[in-house]
Amino acid sequence: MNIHIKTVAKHCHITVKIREDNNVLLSLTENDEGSAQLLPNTTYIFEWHVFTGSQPAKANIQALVVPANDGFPPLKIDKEYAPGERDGAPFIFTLTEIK
Amino acid sequence: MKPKSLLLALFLLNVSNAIAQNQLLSEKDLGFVKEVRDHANLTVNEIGTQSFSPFGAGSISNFISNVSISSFFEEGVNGRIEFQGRFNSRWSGGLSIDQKIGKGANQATPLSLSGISPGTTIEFNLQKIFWKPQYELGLSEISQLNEVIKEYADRNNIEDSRTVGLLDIYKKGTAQEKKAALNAFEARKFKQPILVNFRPGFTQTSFSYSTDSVRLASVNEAFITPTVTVSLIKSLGTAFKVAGYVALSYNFSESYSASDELTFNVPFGTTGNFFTKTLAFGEPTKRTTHNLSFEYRRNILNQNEKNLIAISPSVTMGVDSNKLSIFLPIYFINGIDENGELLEGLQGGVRFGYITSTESGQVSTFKEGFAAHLIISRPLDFLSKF
Repeated sequence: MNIHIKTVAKHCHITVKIREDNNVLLSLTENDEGSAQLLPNTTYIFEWHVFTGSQPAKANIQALVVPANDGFPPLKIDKEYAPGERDGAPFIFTLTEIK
Repeated sequence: MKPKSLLLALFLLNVSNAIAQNQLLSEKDLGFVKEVRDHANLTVNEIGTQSFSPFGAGSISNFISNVSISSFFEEGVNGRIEFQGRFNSRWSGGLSIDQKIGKGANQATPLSLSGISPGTTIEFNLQKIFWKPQYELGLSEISQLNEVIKEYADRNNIEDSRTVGLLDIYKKGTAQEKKAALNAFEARKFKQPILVNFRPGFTQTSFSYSTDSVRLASVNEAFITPTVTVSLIKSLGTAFKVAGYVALSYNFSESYSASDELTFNVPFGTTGNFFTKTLAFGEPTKRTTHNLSFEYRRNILNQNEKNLIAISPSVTMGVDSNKLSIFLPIYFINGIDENGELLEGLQGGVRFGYITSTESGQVSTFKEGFAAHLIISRPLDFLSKF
């Protein structure tokens, strides 16, 4: 199974990582896209980070697992920020076996 | 500047543009849509405006091409043009030419304590942003944090808790949720962006002097001397806010300074009249300087309008020249519009400075050491389009 991620940064910097413990499988920055192969029944960490400049900013992060998997429904993070802000969050997920 | 030097500079500029264009072409080949490219320009312009220092006086190289003119107290007027391009989202570089166009060069200190060229200075620069934040939380800690986020999402009718940022919780959550968000956000490594800037260059200075006290014959001589600056810059912020940066820089430069000017009264034949000639007597002397500089930049943001005011005090210590300078620049900078285009109009600022010797008994009074530096600048946006 593959996870596909696309990032769009408007007036800001973005870093998105997929990792298994401290092993980074995929790292994207700013306006970027990429994919990584994932295994079922393995716990992964999805984390995203944003910092903005002196103007209102927008950050868009989209992620999709192919084929579709209950362990990771399609994700769309769409944020608007005031100048000079930072944001982000980590979450864990585990893909289920394909039947 | 000699034609050969100009041609070399233009050639290197073309090479850097070609690299930048190839980078974008390869992105296009990979299927990136125009939207991504447009957004990339927006990001670069944004960073550019927030760190812009008219006349390139900051430790961070400007991300935006610009032309500036400055007047520096008794040291004359300098013009500066700066071409900047980006190689990818976190690399940038370019070329700047600083030319003295006023008089009084023999009092200037080349690109050191004042940052002003006494002749023609060409500098290249390469800059990279390092920012690789990562949460230093174990799986169980992230799992607990995710529970907090889920509770917040449920209470606020947010369908997908994964879209909740810690900033949302910090702004609108309960006291307990805020604490959890802040603790998690602080538990990151490499959370502050670091920039490394490398600026090699050279200065050409011309002198007219005499070593013949009888005939007072003038000798015209030009010197080319190197300058290299390395800066380490760290972004500053508190929890969820970005505030400015601190920078530590080292500059090595070689320079020539003219001897003191003397006035000679010479008999004009047997007429009984005299003519007067003022010139520097003696060969220019070579100096090598090592300077350490610390700069603190604080942006004062205006959310509702497009303008930005920034202060950027700095202290520079001449390691072997026993000189110290303190500068307090205040910059008035135009931002960008909602489409990411640079706003029209001039921008600039004023730098108030104090330069003194640190040797005992030779410390300048404020009146003696005071300097004021007026700057007018205009961004050139054409290179950031590539």
